[in-house]
Amino acid sequence: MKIITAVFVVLAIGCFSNAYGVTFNQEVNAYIQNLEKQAKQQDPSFKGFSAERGKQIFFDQQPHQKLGKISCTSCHTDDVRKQGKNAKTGKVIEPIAPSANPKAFTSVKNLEKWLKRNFNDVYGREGTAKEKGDSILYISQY
Amino acid sequence: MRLAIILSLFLSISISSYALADSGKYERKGYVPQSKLLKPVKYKLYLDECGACHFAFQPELLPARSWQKMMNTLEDHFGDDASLDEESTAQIAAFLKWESAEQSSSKRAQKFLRSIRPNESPLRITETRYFKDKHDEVDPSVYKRKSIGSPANCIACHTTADKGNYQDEFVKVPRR
Ligand code: HEC
Ligand code: HEC
Ligand code: HEC
Repeated sequence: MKIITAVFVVLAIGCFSNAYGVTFNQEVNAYIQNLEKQAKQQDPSFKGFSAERGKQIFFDQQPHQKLGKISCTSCHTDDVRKQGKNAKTGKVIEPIAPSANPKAFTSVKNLEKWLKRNFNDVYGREGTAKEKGDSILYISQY
Repeated sequence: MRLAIILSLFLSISISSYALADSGKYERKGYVPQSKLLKPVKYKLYLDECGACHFAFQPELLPARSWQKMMNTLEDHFGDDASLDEESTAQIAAFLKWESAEQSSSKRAQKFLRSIRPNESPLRITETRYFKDKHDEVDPSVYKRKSIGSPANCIACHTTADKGNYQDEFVKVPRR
């Protein structure tokens, strides 16, 4: 009985832990599985996403025409649980860590939109499936 | 009946003059004629999408032709990719068109509009002549302060910008 209730609760909330032990809703989990598939297609030696690589992506500085240097931390600070500030416009950015912002990592549409924009901001190109998955894993562990 | 009206009028005048006497240089604070205000934006799609990277500018700050040009070039929006799906783009474009400076009865909006030449479609509010005139006493270095960042960050100095109120008595330029 207890097990059934537990299963029911999990189903009702619609949250599933994935292979990485991070909990997302179904929509985001499916998105991550899809990124995984793509990453494997692009690189047969791919063994799964890594928060360690994600951290590197997040902190790595790139040259920027107006700002001199830019990294993910330019807008999100070096602590994703904290409020950030848009380095280009000065506007406050709410934390992107799930523990500090219940809305973070709940909508695939939003996630895709910002990853595309933000990789373009920092790396001048859209991120690969592997890079996106790595970044998601790094940020969402907080 | 008449007496009651006269009495209440007298009472309200004396109350407000008391408030004026008390507040000194802020004497006009709190009362702003409707004609000087812009409409506060309530449209959620616009607030979410066009307010994500910066203050959600009132459509009344630019003419329709400027907004149209902007909505057609969102992939390269001041160096950023601000593109949206087709439906959102169309909805926001319609909103901007119908709420643009030309459609506004606000004197403030008309001043912005009149300062733009008819053959020009500026994408920046901050490059209109009216904006420049009103900010000619703000030193360019002030915009670089940490909590401001850019002249386009209206709300950093205009504490009531989101209410459509840009009156000078509500301006508070942050020191850092
Ligand atoms: C120029 C500023 C800027 C830079 C640089 C930047 N971001 Fe962002 N990021 C934003 C803004 C603005 C948002 C939207 C915040 C909001 O919705 O309030 C955002 C949102 C996000 C989100 C949230 C998605 C969700 O589910 O809500 C993620 C994840 C993210 N960024 C990752 C990154 C990564 C990874 C990098 C580096 C490759 C990066 N960002 C660099 C400005 C930036
Ligand atoms: C991905 C981030 C991003 C999004 C989303 C975005 N903008 Fe911008 N916008 C910018 C940047 C960066 C600037 C240049 C800011 C500066 O110079 O201070 C800018 C500038 C502007 C300006 C000119 C400000 C001035 O200097 O007067 C207007 C107007 C504007 N945006 C409107 C919009 C509208 C309308 C939308 C929604 C369709 C939108 N923006 C969405 C990043 C964004
Ligand atoms: C650095 C701070 C700062 C920023 C950023 C800023 N302003 Fe201003 N603004 C001022 C100051 C200072 C004045 C002059 C107030 C006075 O005359 O006492 C002013 C005046 C104005 C006025 C005229 C007010 C009046 O009562 O006549 C308008 C309209 C205005 N600003 C609009 C804007 C808009 C729109 C933006 C964003 C696109 C903006 N401002 C950004 C500081 C700022």
